[in-house]
Amino acid sequence: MIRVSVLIATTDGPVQVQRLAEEDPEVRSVICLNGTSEALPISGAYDAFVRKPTGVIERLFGHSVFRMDVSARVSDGRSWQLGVFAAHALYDRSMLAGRLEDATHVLWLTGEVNNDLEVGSVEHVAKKIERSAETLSGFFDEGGTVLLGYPKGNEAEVERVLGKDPGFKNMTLQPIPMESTDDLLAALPREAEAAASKAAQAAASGQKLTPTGKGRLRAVWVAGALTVAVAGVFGWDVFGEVSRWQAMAEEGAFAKLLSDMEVRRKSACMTCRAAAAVYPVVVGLGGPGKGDLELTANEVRAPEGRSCALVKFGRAYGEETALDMASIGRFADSPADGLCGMVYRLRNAGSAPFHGWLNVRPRLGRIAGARARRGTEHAQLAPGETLTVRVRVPDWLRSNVTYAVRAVAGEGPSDDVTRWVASGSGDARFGLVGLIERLMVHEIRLNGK
Amino acid sequence: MTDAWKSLTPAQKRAAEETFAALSAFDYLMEGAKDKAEDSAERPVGFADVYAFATGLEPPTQALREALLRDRQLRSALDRLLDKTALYRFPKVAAAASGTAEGRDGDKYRIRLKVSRAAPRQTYVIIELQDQTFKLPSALFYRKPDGEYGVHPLPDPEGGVIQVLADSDSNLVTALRNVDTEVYLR
Repeated sequence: MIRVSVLIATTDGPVQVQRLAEEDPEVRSVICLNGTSEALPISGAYDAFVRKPTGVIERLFGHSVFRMDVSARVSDGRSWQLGVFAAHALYDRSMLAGRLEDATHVLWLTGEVNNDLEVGSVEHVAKKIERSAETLSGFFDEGGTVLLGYPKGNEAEVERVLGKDPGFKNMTLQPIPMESTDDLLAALPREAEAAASKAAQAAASGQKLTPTGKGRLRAVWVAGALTVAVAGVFGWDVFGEVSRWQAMAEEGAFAKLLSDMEVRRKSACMTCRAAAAVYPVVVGLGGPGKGDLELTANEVRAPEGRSCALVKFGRAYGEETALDMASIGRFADSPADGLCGMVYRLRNAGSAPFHGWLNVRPRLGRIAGARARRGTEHAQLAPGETLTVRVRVPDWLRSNVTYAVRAVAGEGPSDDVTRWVASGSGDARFGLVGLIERLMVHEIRLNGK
Repeated sequence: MTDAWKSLTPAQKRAAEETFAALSAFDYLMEGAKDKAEDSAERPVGFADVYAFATGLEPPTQALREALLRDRQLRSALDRLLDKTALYRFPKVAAAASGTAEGRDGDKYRIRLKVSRAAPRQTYVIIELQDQTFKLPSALFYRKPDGEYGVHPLPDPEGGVIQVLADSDSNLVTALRNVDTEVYLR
């Protein structure tokens, strides 16, 4: 599983984000030192960075108050904003590592982030890099991947420092100049890429690997044949394991597959560990991609002069209005006033059929009768076909409500996947067994709040 | 509560400070401790120490704490000084069945205690200004029913709210939870 540690660059050295947790909306966001009750002076600025309307975090990730723990003091200024933004993006994806020892990647960041999500230039970048060299070098020596994120405006300065310092020349850094946070989100490691990279490393070094990915039988055979051709008997054994798991996947026995892979991954048998590492890589070749899962959201409102009650009892037809995307992973907010319900759809935008699951459930906010306000549907979807989940919205909402809209795609039906999707848990299981997942959030807001 | 202290000019405040220092020296002379003048550690506690505590941000020294516990006059002097220097003194909390308070309501300021959801062993102390035009306090003083005094510096407010995070078993939080604790904002 991908775990990314975020280092906020400062002129006193890198500061690691150790923990991020949602706080009670009645308090203000804080940044604390090392898990203690010492709130850093930048906490006020952090709260403003999180909270709407000044902040961007609540707007993008749907919660208004957080507590962040960091390993050392971060002084005034705004260059911490890019690192804090990355920490929230990773937290939202359950990929934030609290300790370097647990991380597969390190994301070193400096930059300001404005309300339009543009990344602005900062000062002292050269010094920040120099003060981070030891930490980054140590992590690199342990086999981790280091990504260096900074504002596009500081690109020349960064290139000069990296080219000058022989310590950096020996490291495989991935410099990422950024103009907006979209560049950051695009640079975040993805499960399949990481697994492929690690599988390549493993082939060379025999190291223990962490599996991830998705799957298709033909690609498995091709990859298997190549493995056998290259690695002989060893490859044949690996291919045998992979084929066995693929058969389980075809039967939809994903829980069994996951459990079996985990046992193999932890075993002393080198072939088994290699197979567990290779499976998520090869199984994903040729399968549906995230782009094949098109998610849409439509508001349903009563026609003029009619009420939602009439729509509910079939005495009037609700009028649907499509919502725009507010940002990556988020539909535009809907005002609650006059909103009868929502219609969420998953469309197969790819060129091959897949089995799709669509789950909608309230993630944040108080909503009575929650069972009636969520739903899961699944079906085999030919290209262009859609799956629909409708939820009713009560007209007596007491707080804003954020819905999580999760789509999952695989090759065929599976009770295991239906159960996982219905439980609403977004974890790494989907990726590990070769399923594609896409998550969107949508907030229904009380008027005037 | 009075705003008299706030109405003084800097020169008047300096004069008051010197007066307390003089009174302290007088205490000292009267106690015949002249021979200990060189040893500040053993210097008797006087009004200067009380004044320094009431107008500063440092917790009371061990010597002052002990003196306050045994000397009712000194406590009265400190209470009067806190009354004069404070922006606001909270009214007593109505006794709850549990004997603990989750906050204090006043006509100018309000204090709430909120246990952290992310770190349940820590508690937020939230001070709300009922009106943004009120003066901003820089310290919170408390006197526990057992005669223990304490002070906690306050950060700048954000949107009319001052927030302090403290361990739930800290002196600050336990004092504020006690309905019999006197609380001042200065």
